Amino acid sequence: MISEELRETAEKLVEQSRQSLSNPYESLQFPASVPVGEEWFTSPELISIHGTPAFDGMDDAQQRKLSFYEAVNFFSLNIHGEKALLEGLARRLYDPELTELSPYLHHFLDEENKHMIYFGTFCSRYGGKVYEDRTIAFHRQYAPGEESFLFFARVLIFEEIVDYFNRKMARDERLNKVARRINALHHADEARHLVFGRSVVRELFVRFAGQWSAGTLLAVRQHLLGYFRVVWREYYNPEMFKDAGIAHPRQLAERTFSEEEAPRALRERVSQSTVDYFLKHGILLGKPSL
Amino acid sequence: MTDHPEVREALRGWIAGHNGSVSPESIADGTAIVEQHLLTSVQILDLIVFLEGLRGESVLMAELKPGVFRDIDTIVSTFFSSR
Repeated sequence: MISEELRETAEKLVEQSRQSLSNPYESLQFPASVPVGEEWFTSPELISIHGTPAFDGMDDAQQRKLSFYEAVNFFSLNIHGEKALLEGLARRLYDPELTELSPYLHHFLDEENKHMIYFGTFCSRYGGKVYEDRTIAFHRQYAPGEESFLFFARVLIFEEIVDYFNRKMARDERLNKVARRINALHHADEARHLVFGRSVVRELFVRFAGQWSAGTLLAVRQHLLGYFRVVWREYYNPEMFKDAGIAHPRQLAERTFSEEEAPRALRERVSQSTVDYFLKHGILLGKPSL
Repeated sequence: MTDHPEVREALRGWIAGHNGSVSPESIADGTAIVEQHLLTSVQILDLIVFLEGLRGESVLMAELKPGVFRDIDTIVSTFFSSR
């Protein structure tokens, strides 16, 4: 049984989703090709190695070329994140514990599926590939409510980080029109998903955390701290650097993630709001090491 | 005599360092790393990056089979057997 507050939130979101129904084949026209190396596809300030000697040492055309492969990687991450999301949401449709949320879960599934059409078309048509997913999940036993809580909490972390990029790039007039439009379309739906995500994460934590042992609660918190790191590590994809023509791509990825200060500052800035939300509600007791 | 002793020692040190409550010496080649919760799913991507550094070559995720991170023996045979 869900709370009255969450039920009302879900009902409002259902109404908003119905008013925002879209046809993904009409919302966005994809040209046959895009000018790689000429236009920006990722805002320069959001490129993974921005603020590092490696980025500063590239000429303008190289930076713009990298911005294209950064976009292919960003959209690939979204595809993998949303595939996991679709699987998890589908499993929770008409779950007895969450049955009153099912009308909104239908919209959530519908909207995420449409997003993947945008991301997948861009990656396949212009990049010729979707970068592979490098995350691995282990099956294990869960305490009551733990699996659903972790699922929605991971979704929230992933989507809030992604949405920071979407919001910034939806407004960036320097960007290629298709890349900018995909970011804008994604953000328009994500705003509702994030409201839902924060509500359901808080509610599941309040409902179940008191039933968990100290060991389970510690493991849940460690998992979430580690998940921030997993999400961010995938932004530094060696294959993306390789495709952009950068030498020693694995070394660059590792150095940028582990040693460079400007990328670390970006990770902390982007993650701040989500971390603060988790701290405020006692879900986390400390900040992740980013 | 086991193959790739230097890789095994590096793995023991890495796992112990990321677990924080076990010593490298307590991790045998057949210790069940995941089953005994020495590492969790959110640490595996860091482990993959570490393995890529050790072998100097990328790991293709599509080629990984279930259980490849079960223990040090399996990791070494999976990622270093032909080296």
